[in-house]
Amino acid sequence: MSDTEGSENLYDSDQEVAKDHAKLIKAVTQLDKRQRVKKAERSEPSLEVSEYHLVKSGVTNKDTIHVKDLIKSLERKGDQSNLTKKLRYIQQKNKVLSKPLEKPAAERIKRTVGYEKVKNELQKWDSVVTRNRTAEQLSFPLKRLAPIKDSRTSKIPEFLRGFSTKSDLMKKFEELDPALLYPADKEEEKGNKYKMTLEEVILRRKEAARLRAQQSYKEAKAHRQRKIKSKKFHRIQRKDKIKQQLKDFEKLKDSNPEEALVKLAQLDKTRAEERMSLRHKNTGQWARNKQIKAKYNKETRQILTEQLAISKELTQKVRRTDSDESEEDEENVEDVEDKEYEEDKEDETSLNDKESNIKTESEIEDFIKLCRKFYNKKQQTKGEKTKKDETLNEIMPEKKKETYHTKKSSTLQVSTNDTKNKLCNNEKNSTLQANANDTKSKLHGNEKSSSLRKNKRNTKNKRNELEETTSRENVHELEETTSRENVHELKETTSRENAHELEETTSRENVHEESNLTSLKKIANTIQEPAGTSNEMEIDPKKYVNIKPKHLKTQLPDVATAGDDDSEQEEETHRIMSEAFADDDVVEEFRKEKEEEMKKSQPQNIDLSLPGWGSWGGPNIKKSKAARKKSRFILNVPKQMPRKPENQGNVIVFEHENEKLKKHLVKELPYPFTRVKDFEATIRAPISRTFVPMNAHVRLIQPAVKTKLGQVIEPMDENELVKEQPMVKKPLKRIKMKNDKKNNIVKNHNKKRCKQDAQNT
Amino acid sequence: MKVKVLSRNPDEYLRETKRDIHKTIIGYLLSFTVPRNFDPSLHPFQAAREYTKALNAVKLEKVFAKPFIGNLEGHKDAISCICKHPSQLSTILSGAYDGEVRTWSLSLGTCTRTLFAHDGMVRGIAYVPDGKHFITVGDDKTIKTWDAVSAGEDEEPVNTIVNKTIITGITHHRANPTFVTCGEGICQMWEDTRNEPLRTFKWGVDSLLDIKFNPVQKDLLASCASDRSIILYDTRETGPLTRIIMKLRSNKLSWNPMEAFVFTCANEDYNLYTYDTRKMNTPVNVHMDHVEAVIDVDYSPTGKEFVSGSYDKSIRIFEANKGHSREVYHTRRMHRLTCVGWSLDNKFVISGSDEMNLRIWKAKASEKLGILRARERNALLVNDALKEKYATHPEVRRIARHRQVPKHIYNARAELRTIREKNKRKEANRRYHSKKGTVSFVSERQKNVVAQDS
Repeated sequence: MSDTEGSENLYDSDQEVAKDHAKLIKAVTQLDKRQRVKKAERSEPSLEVSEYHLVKSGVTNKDTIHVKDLIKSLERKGDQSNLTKKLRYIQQKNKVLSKPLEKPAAERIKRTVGYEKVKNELQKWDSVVTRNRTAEQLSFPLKRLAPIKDSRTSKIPEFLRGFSTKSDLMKKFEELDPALLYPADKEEEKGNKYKMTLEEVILRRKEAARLRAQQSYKEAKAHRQRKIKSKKFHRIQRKDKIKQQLKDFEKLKDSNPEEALVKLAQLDKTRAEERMSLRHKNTGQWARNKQIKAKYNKETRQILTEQLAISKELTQKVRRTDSDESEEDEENVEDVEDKEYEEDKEDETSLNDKESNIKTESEIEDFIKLCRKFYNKKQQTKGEKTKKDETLNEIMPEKKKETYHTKKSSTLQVSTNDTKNKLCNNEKNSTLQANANDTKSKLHGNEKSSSLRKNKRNTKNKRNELEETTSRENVHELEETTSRENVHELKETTSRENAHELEETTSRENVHEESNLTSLKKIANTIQEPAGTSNEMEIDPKKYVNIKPKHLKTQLPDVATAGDDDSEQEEETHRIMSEAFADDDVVEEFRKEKEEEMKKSQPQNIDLSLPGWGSWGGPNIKKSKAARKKSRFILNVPKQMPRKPENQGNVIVFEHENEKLKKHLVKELPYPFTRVKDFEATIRAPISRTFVPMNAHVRLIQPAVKTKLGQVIEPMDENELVKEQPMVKKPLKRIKMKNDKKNNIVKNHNKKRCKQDAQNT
Repeated sequence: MKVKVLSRNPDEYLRETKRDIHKTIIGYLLSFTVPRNFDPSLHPFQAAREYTKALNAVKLEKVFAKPFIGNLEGHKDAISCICKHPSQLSTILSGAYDGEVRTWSLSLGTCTRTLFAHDGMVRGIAYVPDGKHFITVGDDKTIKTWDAVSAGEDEEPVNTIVNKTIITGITHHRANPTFVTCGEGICQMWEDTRNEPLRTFKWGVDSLLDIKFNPVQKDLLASCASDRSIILYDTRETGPLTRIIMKLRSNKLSWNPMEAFVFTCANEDYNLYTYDTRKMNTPVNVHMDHVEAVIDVDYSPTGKEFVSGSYDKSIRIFEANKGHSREVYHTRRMHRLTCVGWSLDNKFVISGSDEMNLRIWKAKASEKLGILRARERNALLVNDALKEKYATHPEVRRIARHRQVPKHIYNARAELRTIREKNKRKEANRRYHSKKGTVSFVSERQKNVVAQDS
């Protein structure tokens, strides 16, 4: 149509075109009188009633009868006005339902709604799923299976359990005693168990409450007492406790010997523990403080000796009465040795007396006397038990010899020291020092060889001090120090010796003695040497590192570097290190290693010369030595830059990365980590049993998912979801409780009043 | 009479190795091993030692990786489907293309029962949750219910329903006695005791390939259609809920048994797609590694992993939240995979393939089956923990990831890689040479979903 019109299109204005178009449409519609698409009509008497036929457009409005027409007649009658009002109201209110949606659209809406609903429903699994996803460890099946009920205990009646044939054994049992085969059920007993009267229950509950209260009081008391800081209080308490225990023990001895034995074993144990610890040794802070005071105060000395005595008593190994003879022998020997030592000491002191007149000497004497007294006491008690054996006589000469040796060495030492000190031109000091050294060396002779080092250092220190004091002649201080030193060391030796003697055997003792001897000699030798050479055993100080240690920035907990500030400790470690590496020349070694490394890092010239190339080859032909010829085949590599300045110190820096190592190194930061530090920390944290305690190890190696072979894992169930707890209104409860309390109080008051009234009347 | 028994913890007096130092408490018979000092400064080579241990562990894992346990032969045609018993681990059903259904005992490795169930291929098998019956559907338009417990001489079905249309899949409700079949454009819900379908769901006209009940949210259904769509149903009232259309069709799908809203479908485009039912327009994850169409997929009962069988003659095991497989199984004699299943104790994988054999594999290739002593178990746990700890180290990862694959897979992977690179390059070029913002980035996940209908 548009084509035909286009051909006739002579008008330019749009309006005229529109007009024409409208006219045309009108004409076309008039041509066809019949409606092409039938309007939906309501055909009432059909079987199928569909909402799609109920269309308003099918009905013309012109001829229809409306409700208001019907009402008109009613309005005329006055009594029907109420009805007409109602009808009108209904007509106003009612609106015609809209046409239902087409089927696909309706279904789409239904689906979207349904999908939303399902989505919401699925949300209930969120928490469980997230929990499982983030759980450190999951062990499947997630829920525990209900334990299988025993057929006997289940509530299935007897006759439904089915029949079973009896075996011969069962028959025989039945003949003997039917009760054996089927023991009576314990249900009845159970039933009786809970049958208690109300009063009984209340009584029992009260009793329990009382017990609980008492317990809590006790706890509180103990707690309070533990918090008390007073040492005295605790000491007294402890003593009381011990006394009480002893009393109990005495009582038990008479009444119940078995239990007493048990108690004795316990005491034994405590003694053993004591022996393991060093509690009553005079090494603690308290003891050291006392030792300082001991010089001036007799009481403190007393206390110290007491302390020692306690330790001795506690650390003494309890001999069994049925021990072998050999043990007794040992004891005897030990006793003898003790005496020997004392004699030695006497000698020493006498020697000291002869050589110098120092006030402090007398005090030392005092102390030694005290000690001796103590020993004698001990030995007497022992001696009473066991008489001297023949073995004693055999050992005696040996001991004498040894003592002789020690004396000799000491005198030697004294002489050397004398010579040395002459250089200082201070007679008094020299004697003093000699004295000090003398006593010390002897004491050390008795000590273990490990204490050798200390002695040496002490002497060194002394020497320095002496040199300083020469100008001032400040002798008094020195005296003091020496004397203190002496006292201290003496004590140490005595205590240590005792501890050793009690446990070691004879054969070892001898060896020990010998070693002591040799050590003594060593000391003598070292001291004889001049001061400068005494260091030669160690590394040359010039060669040795005198740079400050550089600590790389690592996260590693470094124990060695922790005590850097402590110069004394540093010195100590330094000395130990130097001693440990006394034999090998570390510096030299390092230098060689570095040279090697530098050589390796330098590129080498490549020799491409082939034998026989350009000259005769084969057996019996000498290689031509013409350097010119050969040099043509050598590829000269340009000399590399010298090593970087930071490499020139006492370090080896590998400038090129190690290929072998490279393939093991992580190149990128793995996914969940954001910082290198964190990743390093996780890698550094060990999990092997070699590096962490067993408990931690077991916890660290747990797998993320645990399953059991042969165990069916059911899909997740709704039981897995946690039920929502109903909200509990707590404040309300409290209010109630309060009210109850108030009521009770009121009641009590009332009761009291009643009672008072009764009394009054 | 009361008998007192001395009992001591073996850890206190038994040594681990001969070299352990023994120390005795003086004077008593008690003895104990010397306690270690765990101070880290005393173990400067701790990290290095652990690394070496991890390296050794991962090497040992390779040494012990022998996943193939055995195969079950007896079918006379290619296997079409398998079905696991809901409670017995040793029982499995398999249907073949010739209409034969066999019951297998996995523990014995033998066939215990043979049925000629259908004319034409067996399309699907489903156990009734109590394990006493199973239902098969086949190309002969029948649904047959069989007694699973008693095996008579003449094998007759307990019940047979003749349907109007071909049925291609079946799934049974986990708790109720209802099952759903899918077929030509419709899926029907049946009750065990009735011969007429309870309800019929219809959306579109294309035939459905697979249908699965959600094991957790029990009334939810999902099916794959041949018009490349995945449809979600609610069996209670609404019926179909939503559907997505992908670029290529999905062959099978499997619900995650531990996460109610997650399922994975095996797609024709060599990938698997994991969806969250609440957000269907993009998959949660795309699992790539197969080099041909993926035929079947099954979740492990823990819901952490799934197994997939492909037309490229390989089985792959994926972790549910990872994009690439952790394991690939193949044998020279194994042909196109038709069905895979993960045993309900999470230890085995069962596969059926074109060449008439069922195969049993270990779910963890290097796992030791059987009883382990405490120390052995501990050692294995330590090794696993170390492997996990050092997993990111290149050498460890290299050894752990290395697999030997058949030549055709190897070459196909290389080819696919080049194709993918080419596409990437092309896209980058197009983006470079066009106006800014006209060529938008589309993520790998979004690429393959065409539309979501509701």
